[in-house]
Amino acid sequence: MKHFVLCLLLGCLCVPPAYAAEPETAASLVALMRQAQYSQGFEARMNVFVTKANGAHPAPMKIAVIGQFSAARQRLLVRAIAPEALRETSFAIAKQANRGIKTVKYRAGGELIGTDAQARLFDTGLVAWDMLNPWWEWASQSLEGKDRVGGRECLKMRSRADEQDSPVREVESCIDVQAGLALRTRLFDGGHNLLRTITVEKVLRKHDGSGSLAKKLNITGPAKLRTDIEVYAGDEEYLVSDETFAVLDRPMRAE
Amino acid sequence: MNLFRFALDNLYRRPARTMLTVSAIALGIAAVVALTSIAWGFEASWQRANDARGTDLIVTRMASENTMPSPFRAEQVQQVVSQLPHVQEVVGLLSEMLTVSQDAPPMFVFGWVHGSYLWEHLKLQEGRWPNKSNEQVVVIGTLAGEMLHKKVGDTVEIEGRIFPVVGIFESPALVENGALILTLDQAQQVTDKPGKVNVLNIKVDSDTGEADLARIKEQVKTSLPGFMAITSGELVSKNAVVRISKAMSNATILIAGLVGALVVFNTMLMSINERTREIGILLALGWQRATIMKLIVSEAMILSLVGGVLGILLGVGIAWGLEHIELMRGKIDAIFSVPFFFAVLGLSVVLGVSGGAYPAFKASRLLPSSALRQE
Repeated sequence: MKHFVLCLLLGCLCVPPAYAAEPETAASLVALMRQAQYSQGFEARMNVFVTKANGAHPAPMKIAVIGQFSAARQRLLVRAIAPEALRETSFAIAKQANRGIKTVKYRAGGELIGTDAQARLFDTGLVAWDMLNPWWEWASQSLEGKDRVGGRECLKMRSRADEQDSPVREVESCIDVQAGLALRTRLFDGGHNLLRTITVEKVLRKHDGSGSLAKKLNITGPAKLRTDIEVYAGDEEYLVSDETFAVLDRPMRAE
Repeated sequence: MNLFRFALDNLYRRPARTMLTVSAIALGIAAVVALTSIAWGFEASWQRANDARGTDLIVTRMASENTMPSPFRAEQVQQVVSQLPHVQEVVGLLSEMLTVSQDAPPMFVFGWVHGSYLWEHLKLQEGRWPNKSNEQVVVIGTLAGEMLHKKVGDTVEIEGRIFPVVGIFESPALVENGALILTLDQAQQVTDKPGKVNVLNIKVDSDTGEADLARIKEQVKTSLPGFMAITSGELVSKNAVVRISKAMSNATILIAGLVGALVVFNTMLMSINERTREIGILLALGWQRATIMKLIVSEAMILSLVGGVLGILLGVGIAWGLEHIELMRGKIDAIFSVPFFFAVLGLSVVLGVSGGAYPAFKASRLLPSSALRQE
């Protein structure tokens, strides 16, 4: 009997846990990450809290982000809810056919102004370019082993830009495969200087259980600017109408 | 001198140790009382809110075990549910936890269908109700009014839109007293969820029995994949916050129980080691071994009972304090009851008996001849 129990215990220890199979190649991990962000429409409302290098805090912000991600189309709408001075200022962001990113700034009823995708939105650490994760489209991707972020195990992945003139030349992501989420993303320029780091602090399970979403994250850099973002409400099945992203098709003036 | 007095005198002999033991038990019991009453209160408050509304069944998404069930398009689901037998009224509800003032913690903002039965249980204290479904106004609970320092005629900013406060109401449920209520149309507009609700409230006719309710649940499950119909009690018990608070209270009971028993065990073991010679004399004088056991267990029970009573008082104080701090106001409604206090005292007695059992047994097994030789 004792031997049977011992064998049973040893057997249990030897059986691998029933985790989802880890991607074996960089390509399969990239495919997983692209798939994870696909959505017919979502909306997330967030509190944004900025801490400047000198420790000063501008007024806390509230923003709403509407998104639609598919293989063919990736676009976002970022709208300020508060404070009053920024209310109804919005950015429409879309990935274009040439893999460039179009960013349009506008106020309700005002003119449309084309802006730089690398510019910070609302003077926070949010950057339009980062929000579309264009590095998953790059050809050069390599797996670099495991790491831990906030106590969670993740797979390190290095993505290198196809274009030599890209302001972001290299991106290092640490991906929680179970969650389908990069827990930490570091962006570097051509001189391998760290531009900014995006770290997920809290995750929230998707309502269909297919993965997780970032509930709380922070962005550090540039110049010691820290942006803390927390999602306080959302809709994973937001109904995107024809009007939602219509501004992207209208004529705009350059900034 | 009776045994009880004898046990008391023994505890008085080491006042510092007795006080420390009682304090440790009191802290453990206080944590049990405070956390359990808050967990029960939280559950009861949500239950009361649903019961007061007169809702018999709630239709929500299968995986809606988060604090807020995820929103869904109401129209199609509502159409199917309305046609089920015994269903009298189906009303959508949208709720969000939103920051409406930088000086107050996030608050519940509810969107209710204008003119539906959901409003009937509220008592208007001041002002009026919204006149039509698209009127951009808000009514606030008495507690919300107090926390936001708002009265009728003031305005509240919800998600960047200004809403005049037209009424202040009182509800039997704390969760509603601390909330702001808009018409469903307005709530959908302000949260950018046109046509969506978190839950559908079903009111059934008076002929509906338990078997009919079970049939409705089954029909919802089969005709609306991904949705379920549950009673408000089931919804509340599935709520993530309720489950976490209950798990925390159970863990506290377990930890406090273990720590309490160990503290009593340690104290009584030290006590009998110091009194070996005295116990030997008592045995030599003809005390029965059972009497020695009773003495030690009585001392342990006195310690744990006094700790229990003090712990209950401290726990009630902690829960009351938490209810009244600004951050938690409107979210905690601790529930106490006499049977609960007796159960806690019972737990104290169990701690005393289990912590004192081994030391009592050890003391009763002493041989007078060897006990008397000990210095």
